[in-house]
Amino acid sequence: MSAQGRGAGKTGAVDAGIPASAADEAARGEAWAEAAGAPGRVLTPAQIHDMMGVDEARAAQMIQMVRQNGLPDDQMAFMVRTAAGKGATPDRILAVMRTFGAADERAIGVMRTSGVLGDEEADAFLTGVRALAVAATGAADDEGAAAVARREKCLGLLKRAGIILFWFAVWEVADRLIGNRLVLAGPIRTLEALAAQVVKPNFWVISLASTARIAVGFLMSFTAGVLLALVAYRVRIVRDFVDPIISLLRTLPIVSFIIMLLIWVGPQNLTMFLAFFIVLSLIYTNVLSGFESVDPQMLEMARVFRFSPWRTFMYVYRPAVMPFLASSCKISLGMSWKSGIMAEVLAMPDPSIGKQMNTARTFLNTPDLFAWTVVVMILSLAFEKLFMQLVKFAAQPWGGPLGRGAAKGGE
Amino acid sequence: MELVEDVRIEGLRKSFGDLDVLRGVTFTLSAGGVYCLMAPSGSGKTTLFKVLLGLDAADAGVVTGIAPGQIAAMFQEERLCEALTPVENVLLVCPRGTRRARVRSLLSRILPEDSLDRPVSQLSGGMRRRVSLARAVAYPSRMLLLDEPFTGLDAVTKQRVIDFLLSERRGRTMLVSTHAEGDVALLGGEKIELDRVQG
Repeated sequence: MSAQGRGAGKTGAVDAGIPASAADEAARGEAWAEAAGAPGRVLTPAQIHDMMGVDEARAAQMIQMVRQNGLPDDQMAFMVRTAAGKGATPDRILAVMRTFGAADERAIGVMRTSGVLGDEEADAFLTGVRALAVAATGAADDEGAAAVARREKCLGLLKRAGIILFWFAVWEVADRLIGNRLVLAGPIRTLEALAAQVVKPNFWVISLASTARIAVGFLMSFTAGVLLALVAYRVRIVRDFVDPIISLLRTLPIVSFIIMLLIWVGPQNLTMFLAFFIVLSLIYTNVLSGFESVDPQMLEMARVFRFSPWRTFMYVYRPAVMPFLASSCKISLGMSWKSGIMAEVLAMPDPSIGKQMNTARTFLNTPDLFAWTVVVMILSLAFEKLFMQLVKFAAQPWGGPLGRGAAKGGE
Repeated sequence: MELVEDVRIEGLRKSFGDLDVLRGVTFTLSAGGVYCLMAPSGSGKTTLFKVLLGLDAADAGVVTGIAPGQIAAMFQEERLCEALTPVENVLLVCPRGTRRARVRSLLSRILPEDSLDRPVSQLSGGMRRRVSLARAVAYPSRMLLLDEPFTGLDAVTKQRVIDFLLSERRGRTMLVSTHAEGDVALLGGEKIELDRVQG
C-alpha cells in the first residue's frame, strides 16, 4: 500500500506539507464516529464489493472465514490500507472491520498504526464511537461494556447449545412418533448403532480406507492445483490452455464425472479421482488469484535487494497467496468428503464407508445408515481441522529462521 | 565496503507514449558524495530512480560507475514485509550469516526497543519509514538512493535519522530526493535540480 493511498488521514496532510491542526483532526474523528454509528452496523457483501473491489461471493466467503478464524493484525492492516487506497473513509473502513467481527478499539488502533488515522483523529474517532456504543447499550464504562460482552458471549453459547438440543429433541420425538425404524432413526438409536459399529474389528479399517482415498484425492488436487496455478501465473500460454479446462471442470455435472471416471479408472479408484477433479478448479482458481494479488511494488523491492527465488517466494508471494489458499482449502475439504462418499456409495469399493452405507440401504438398516453418516461427519471435520492447522502453520510469518545461523528459511 | 566509483548519468531519455518524462538527463555523482535531488512532482524523479535501479529500461542514454543490484534503495512507500518484525525485515537484505544482535543494535539507534519485536504492520507510519531506511542502509551496496526519506518525521526524529544515516553511510555515494531545501544543509550535501539537468 502506498503512502499516497492514505489520503484519508494524517499522512496525507503531512505528505502535502500541510500541518493538520489538532482541532481539525478531532473534528474529523468526531464526524467519522457519527457516520459510522453505534457498533452493530455491518455491511452486506454487496457493499464490501463496492468498497474493496472483491466480488460478492468472495466477500461473503471472507466474512464467514474471518468470523470463524479471526483476523490477525497484519492482515487487518493490509485490508485497512487497501480500503484507504481505494478512497474509503475511516467510518466506512470501520464498518468493514465490524462486519468481519473486529472490535472498534482494535480496528481504530490498526487504522492509527497503519497511518490511515492521525493520533488526534483516532482518539476523537474512538471517543465518538464509544459514546455511541454507551448510548446504544446503556453501559456506563469500559468495565461494564466488557462484562456485557462476556455475558453476551455466554448467552450466545448457551443459546446455540439450546438450539442444538432442541433439534435433537425434535429428531428423537419425530422418531418416536413415526415409530418406524425403516424410515427414521432417532439420535438414541443412531448412537446405539454407532456404538455397535465402533467395536467391530473392521470399523477402523473401513474408516481408514475411506479417509485414505479421499485424503489422497484431495492432496493430489491440492498439489496439482498449486503447481498448475504457479506455472499458469509464470507462463501466459500455459494459462491460456489450462483456463478452458478449469472452466469445464467447474461446470461439468458431478454425475457426468462419476460415469466417465467409472469407465476410465474403475470403481476402486473412483473416489480418489472424483475428489481430485471436483476440487482442482477451486484450488487452481484461488491460488492463481493469490499470485495475482501480489503487490508489484513488493516484487520490485525483492529485485532491488536481489532476493533469491526462495526468499521472494517465502516473504513476498507466500504471504499474499496463503489467505486465498486457506479459504479454498476450507471449502475444498468439505467438497472432497461429500463427493468422495457419494462416489463410494455408487462404486462400492472394498472396504469403504460408502459400501457400508449402501449395504445399510439395501437391508433398510436406517440406524446403521445414520451411524455411518455420523462417522463421515466426524472424520470430515477431524481431517479438515488437521489440514487447516497445517495451512495455518505454513501461513506463519517465518521470520524466525532469519539471522539464526542455519537460516534455511531465509535462503 | 565495496569499491565506490563516480556515477555518470548521461543523456538519459525515457518516454511513455507522447510524454517525454526524461529528456536527456545528464549529471555526475562523485564517488562518496552526498546529493539532494530536488524534483517537483511529475518531473520524472520516480522514472529516473527506476532506471537507476534497473526496474525500467531507458530509451536512450547510459549510466556508468554503478549497476542495478549495487544500489540500496529506500522507496517512497515503505514496501516492508508486513508480518515480519523490523529486525527480520532488515535481515532479509543482509548477507547470509548476519547476526540478529547486530541488526537489533543498528535499529535500536533509530527505533524504540519495544518496537523491534512487533510485526511492522503494527508500527506507526514514521517507524515504518525508519525501518525502510535502516534496511537500505544495511544492504551491502555502493550507492544509497533514498526517496523522500524524512516524510512524516518530526524535527527531533529527523535529526536523529540524519545522524544515523551519515554515520552508517560508510563512504557510499548518496542520492536523496527531497522537497525541503533545508535538507541539503542538514545532510551537508550538494543540490541537484532535476529540471536543470534535463537536456
